[in-house]
Amino acid sequence: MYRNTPHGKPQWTRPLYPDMTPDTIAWNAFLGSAPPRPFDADRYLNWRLFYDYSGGNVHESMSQQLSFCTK
Amino acid sequence: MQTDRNFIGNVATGLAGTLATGRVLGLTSASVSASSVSAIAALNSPAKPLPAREPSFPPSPTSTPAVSKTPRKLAPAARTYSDYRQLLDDPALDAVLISTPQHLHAEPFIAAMDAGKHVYIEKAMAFTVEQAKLMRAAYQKAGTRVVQVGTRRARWAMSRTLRTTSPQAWSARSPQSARTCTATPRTASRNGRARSIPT
Repeated sequence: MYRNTPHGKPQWTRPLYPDMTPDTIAWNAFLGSAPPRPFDADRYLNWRLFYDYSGGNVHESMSQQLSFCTK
Repeated sequence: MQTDRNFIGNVATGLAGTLATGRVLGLTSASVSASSVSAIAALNSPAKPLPAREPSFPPSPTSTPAVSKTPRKLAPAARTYSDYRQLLDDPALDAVLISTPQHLHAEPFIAAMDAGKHVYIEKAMAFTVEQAKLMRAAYQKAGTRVVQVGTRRARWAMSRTLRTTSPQAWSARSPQSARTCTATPRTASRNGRARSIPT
């Protein structure tokens, strides 16, 4: 998934920190009802890029456009 | 449910007479400061109860500066919870902001409705149609609670322009009218601020 933003200013991808480990992140709580997976800090922080946790561009961007027509 | 970002205003005005504005807004004085916004809580923690072996979320201030230090700096007096249900049990809180990932929207939303809280929930409101139906039922059951979904299109400059210059078109707005308005150079916007586009 890609968002057309200025170079050097990504809005949907964030850098991972080295201390993002199972000791500091409640991974099972994050998963909720999503399919079980081993710990992955990238999924935790950049969840918008994974269909397990986001509806993709339809949810992220199209919902903004459709709201214009909501009565 | 509302779809524009007028949640705070509607919470204040829609319930006038039953609740003092300051209480609804979570303000303890007329001036807005980070430390005074205590009755509106943010739910951005995981939705499930945490296993005993895992620490609370967010992590301690010594780890993950981007996650833990910024909120503490903005609101040093804010209380934090490791389980959103503890937050919802707090009678001092009138409204909550749900900014969890989308697959974790429904559970805290329904719990917030059951707890009698007003809710601002980030888009997309629901992850599945089934969740949306459950959320709608919880909203209807809650009665007078105020809910706003955090979509932004209706507050952008082009929307304001259409609303003021052509109320009839605004009333009958459609995807076609959205495209027409977007195509007007003077109404293009970034972050809600009108700007001109060279032709």
